[in-house]
Amino acid sequence: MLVKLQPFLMSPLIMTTLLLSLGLGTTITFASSHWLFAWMGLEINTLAILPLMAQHHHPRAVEATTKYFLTQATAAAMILFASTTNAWLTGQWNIFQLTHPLPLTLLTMALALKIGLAPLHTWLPEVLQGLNLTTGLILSTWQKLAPFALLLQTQPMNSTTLILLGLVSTLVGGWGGLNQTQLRKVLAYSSIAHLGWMILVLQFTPSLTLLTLITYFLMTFSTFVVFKLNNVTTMNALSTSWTKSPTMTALTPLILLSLGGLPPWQDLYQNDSSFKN
Amino acid sequence: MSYTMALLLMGMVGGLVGVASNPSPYFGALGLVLVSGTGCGVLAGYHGGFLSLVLFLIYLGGMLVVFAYSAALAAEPFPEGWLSWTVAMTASSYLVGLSICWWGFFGHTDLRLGEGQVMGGWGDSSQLRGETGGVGHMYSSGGGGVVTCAGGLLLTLFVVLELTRGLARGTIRSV
Amino acid sequence: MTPAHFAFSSTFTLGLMGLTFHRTHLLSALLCLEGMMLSLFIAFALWTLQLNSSSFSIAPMILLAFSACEASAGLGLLVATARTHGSDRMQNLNLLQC
Repeated sequence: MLVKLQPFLMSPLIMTTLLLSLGLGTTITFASSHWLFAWMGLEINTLAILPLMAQHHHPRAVEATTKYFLTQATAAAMILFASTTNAWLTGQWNIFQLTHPLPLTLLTMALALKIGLAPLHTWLPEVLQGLNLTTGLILSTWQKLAPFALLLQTQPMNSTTLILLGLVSTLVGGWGGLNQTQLRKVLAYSSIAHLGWMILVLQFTPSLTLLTLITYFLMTFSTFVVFKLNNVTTMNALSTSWTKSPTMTALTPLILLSLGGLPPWQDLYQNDSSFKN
Repeated sequence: MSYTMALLLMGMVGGLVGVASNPSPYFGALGLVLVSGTGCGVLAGYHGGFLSLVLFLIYLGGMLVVFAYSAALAAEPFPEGWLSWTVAMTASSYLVGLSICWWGFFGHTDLRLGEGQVMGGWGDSSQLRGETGGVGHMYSSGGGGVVTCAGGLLLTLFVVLELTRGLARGTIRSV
Repeated sequence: MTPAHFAFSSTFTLGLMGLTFHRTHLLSALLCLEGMMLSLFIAFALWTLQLNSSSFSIAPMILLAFSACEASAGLGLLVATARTHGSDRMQNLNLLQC
């Protein structure tokens, strides 16, 4: 099977171009102070990951790519619409100057759609389910960075929206993951819940949000890599993977518990300080 | 604000009602043609001749030909036009909603419709706009934007090639 | 709010509502996205013309270029979906539901 598929795999040059563009898009968004250029960075980011997602041309992969494209394009257009409305109302295109409440709410909702916060989260489990683990890793770590940077730059004004989004996300993330047997869907709901925590503390201590983001990235990275090495995508396969690699299976609960926020691991510290704040 | 401009703006909104009310893709593309044509007229009415030309030539010329091709891919035996029951219901409910919004915003405003009247803040109609020269800035100070655009277009070429590759897989096979 | 502002806001909102609420074809969804981008183009151009800021008139061109990118990527996905799912109906995109 692998031999038959081999000629269809992506050329390394194109793969390099796509990965570099993925980095470039996020960097443009980081570096920009004008909404148009931030939007361009987001667009480049979305465009570059599409072929990586549809790499194997499996029906599920193509479907996930289509859904991802539609949500991301809509969210990007909404971001641009919010900034245009702001420019019409206040005459400012600067990212820091988005002050009018109407475009600010619209922008927050658009960014929530982009990173998959409840109640705009429904695309995330489906898309993540259709991808292979490597692309899923990129999707749940690197792709969150650019929208999060925008969210950090415009946060202090719209507290009610942010709190509502955060609360709903933590609840939906916690409950949604309960009934799943597919590991990628569980990871998607875990992503929703963690992002909910980050959004919740965003307006009180942005530095804590960044710390949570970084530790979330670290733990998600290790989880995805463990799953990738064991080649598991369901709970069943994970529970029988001790026959294949006992040591790693013994260590996996450490990561998972850490992701879940149990003591004495890292995430507890953050949830604790979030509550203290 | 002249009657022509009001008519063009209404055409723009009406065209998008036609797209949004979920007819078959052929009719949706037709609605988009209406939007871009009237939008081009709106820009020309605000003395933006160059941008209007760009919209007309590039958008209508390039984009919609492509969409017409792909409408062939999505062909149906019985296309739903705007006179179909569900589409007409959706479109009319959108129109009612729009009228309510319009009444809420402008119900108590004197819009001074009439020939030669300009809605507040738009300036004298004989005034020259600098947008033709402004687009020329792309070649000097806006160079970074042009380079990024070119990079994005090149990237899109790769993306489309990669997405549509592999005829041997999927349901449509050469066998 | 001027009538022009109302016009492009309502066109964008209509496109967004159409994309959100009722789509049977993937192509119709892409058309709605295009309509949204078109209203954004008109909004950018009208803003430029209103404030007479000549240097900002690059922005609509950049927007147009990137919306062309988006549209072509969407059409590429349309072809890929038609290959794997047989048609471009949105109801067929149901392999990944919970």
